[in-house]
Amino acid sequence: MSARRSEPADMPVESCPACHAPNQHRRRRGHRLEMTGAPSLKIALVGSPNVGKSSVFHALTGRRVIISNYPGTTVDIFRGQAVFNSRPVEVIDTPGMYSLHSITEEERVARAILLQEKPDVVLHVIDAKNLERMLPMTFQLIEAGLPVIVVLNMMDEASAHGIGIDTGKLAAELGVPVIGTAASLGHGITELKQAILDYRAISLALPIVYDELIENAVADLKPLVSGSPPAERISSRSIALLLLRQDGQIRQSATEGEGSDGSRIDAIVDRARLSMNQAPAYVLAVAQQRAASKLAASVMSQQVPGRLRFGERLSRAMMHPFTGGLILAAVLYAMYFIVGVFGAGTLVGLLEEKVFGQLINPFFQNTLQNLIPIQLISDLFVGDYGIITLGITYAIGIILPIVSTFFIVFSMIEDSGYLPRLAMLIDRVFKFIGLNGRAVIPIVLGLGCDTMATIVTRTQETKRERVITTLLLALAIPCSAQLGVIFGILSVSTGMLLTWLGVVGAVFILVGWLASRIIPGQRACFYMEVPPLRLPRLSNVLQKTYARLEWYLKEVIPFFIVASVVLWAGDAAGLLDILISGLKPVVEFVGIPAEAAVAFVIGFFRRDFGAAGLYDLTAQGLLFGNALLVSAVVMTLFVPCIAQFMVMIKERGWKTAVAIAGFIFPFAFLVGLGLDRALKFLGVSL
Amino acid sequence: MNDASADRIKCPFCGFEFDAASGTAYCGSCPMGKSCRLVRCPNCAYETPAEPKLFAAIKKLRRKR
Ligand SMILES: [Zn+2]
Repeated sequence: MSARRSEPADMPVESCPACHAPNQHRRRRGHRLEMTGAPSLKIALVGSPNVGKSSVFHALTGRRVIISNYPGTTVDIFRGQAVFNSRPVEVIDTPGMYSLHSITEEERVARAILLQEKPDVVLHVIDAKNLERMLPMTFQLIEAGLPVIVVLNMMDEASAHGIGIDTGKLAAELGVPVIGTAASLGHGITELKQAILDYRAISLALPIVYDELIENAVADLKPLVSGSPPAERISSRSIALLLLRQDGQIRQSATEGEGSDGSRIDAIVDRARLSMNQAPAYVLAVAQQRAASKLAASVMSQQVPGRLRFGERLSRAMMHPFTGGLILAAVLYAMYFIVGVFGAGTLVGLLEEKVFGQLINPFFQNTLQNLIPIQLISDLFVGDYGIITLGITYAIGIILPIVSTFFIVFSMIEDSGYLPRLAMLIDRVFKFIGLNGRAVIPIVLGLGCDTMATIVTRTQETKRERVITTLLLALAIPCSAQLGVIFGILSVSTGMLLTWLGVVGAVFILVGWLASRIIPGQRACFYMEVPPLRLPRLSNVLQKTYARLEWYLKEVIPFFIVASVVLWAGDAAGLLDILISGLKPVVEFVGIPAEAAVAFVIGFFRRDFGAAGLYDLTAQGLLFGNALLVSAVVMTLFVPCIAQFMVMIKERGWKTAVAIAGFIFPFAFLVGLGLDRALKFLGVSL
Repeated sequence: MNDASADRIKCPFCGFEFDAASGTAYCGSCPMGKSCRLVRCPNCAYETPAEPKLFAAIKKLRRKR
């Protein structure tokens, strides 16, 4: 991705831009810098917010600062005057921008300054601690052919974090000067002023070569935009890339030039968009982020582990196979305590038994049975599969308190940055069993919702990978709601929970290992940036929990009502009895009471719905001990819910989906049978 | 979706930054359809809930003051 090549069409060839060796072809801007006594040099500072841009600005300008509204906007601009080595200089501090592809008003103003004020030097101010995150915009500025100097600010903080950056190497790789500063302390400012005065080189190296579809579209667009107004300031390559990102402003100004043909530009952009799976904007952003990670890794050095801060040590421990496993166990234990003991025990006890069991359901049962004389109809609401007694009771009385506590814990985990570390840990296990690391993301996603995770498997390259991941998702990954309810059911004993975890984990590893043997394929490497760990913020946790609950209530309540109606109709038509009596011998053979057959049938509607059925049986005292554990294991393995099954058909085709289901149904019961017999053989009764 | 569409979201999974309006690339093939308010990271496909309207409204109020 980050291979470099020169681009002869756009600009004249120059010599090494990093060491500023003299060369014969110089752009006009370069000449202007050399003329002594020339009018003031114009310098623009760009960069994302919170990188210390204003301290660089103040360090360069001193006190003479004018604040003004940028014409036609509400955005404030800072301008300052200064003299460097007897040369007058004007410095403009632009509003924070994340990308040359502008979205916010601030970003539009910052870009307008770059395009219209024509600064002689553009200082891209970067937080040295976060080099990797900042580099994509550096690439964009270089692609645009702007006269960039990279200012690595906050070098003091970076070294306090144990981060060292090889500025010389970075300059050589980027093809532009790189100056390290700690502007708030005044460090590096003299060097920066000198670099500004010395500035002449224009980078000709391309920081990134994109994939073929993008590069072809760029090649087609370049001649169409080379005469347009923005091309006076930024390279036609950059204009083409912005057009592919569907930048409305650039589209407008690029078609203003003489003889330009807007419809031809649109046709090329549309063709490129249609030929790609994802929006070009994302393909570009991903390529830039990857190149940034690669470059950052090659110029950054972290100090020896002995001096690492606690957070960094914890982060590494989380990804280490052994300590990572221990930390995962601790996280699961905390989750068990909050979700299982508090959510499923205390809260459900209160809601399901007290509120629904003693107040709501008896009330509706009495009123409706009196009001509606026909039992069939009143059953629709308050019967065994009634909308109120089954659908609403399960959804609000059992699952809601469990998922609420689960979502709180999950939001905390998510906000802390633990998930990517968990993915790295799983990646190591995957490597051990010979599975592709790219399966990690769908698997972790599956813990949220297996249906969506199944759709995501299409991001995997080979059919083999997609089939294995789909199988593992359907078999051994419980979705968040189901996981919560199962935690709740098994909260009666830690031993039971551990056995469940062990059995499901072993099945996952065994099936994954076997599948990777039977359907072998190339193992690709797994790329991910691991963001820093942090303490979860209350506002974020509340916001995410609230959003997830809102989503859950909106999506799931109607589903439960529909499921109750279908079950009621199936019951009335006698179909349910046939299905249950068919399952009964299998269920009993495995050591599960016959009543649980209903839970398996309704589990097909939604995974959590089935688990709630088991919960109900447990609460009624019908399901306990070994049978409870076996049911929970079978329920976890057995059910891909109806939505997931439909997506499996859609994504993998009929044959594969049916084959997977045909393997899972008997296999789940086989594992249950094995577990039941093993427990009996060992004389264990939980 | 007027204000929220301009919001940048940082993926809690892979750290990729994107704007909320375009985190819906997969929604067409999902049977859950429009009822879900999750946005999907274009880099790694991880789903996060979009900022709820209630919270966006509170933020706006606080900004005005
Ligand atoms: Zn992501």
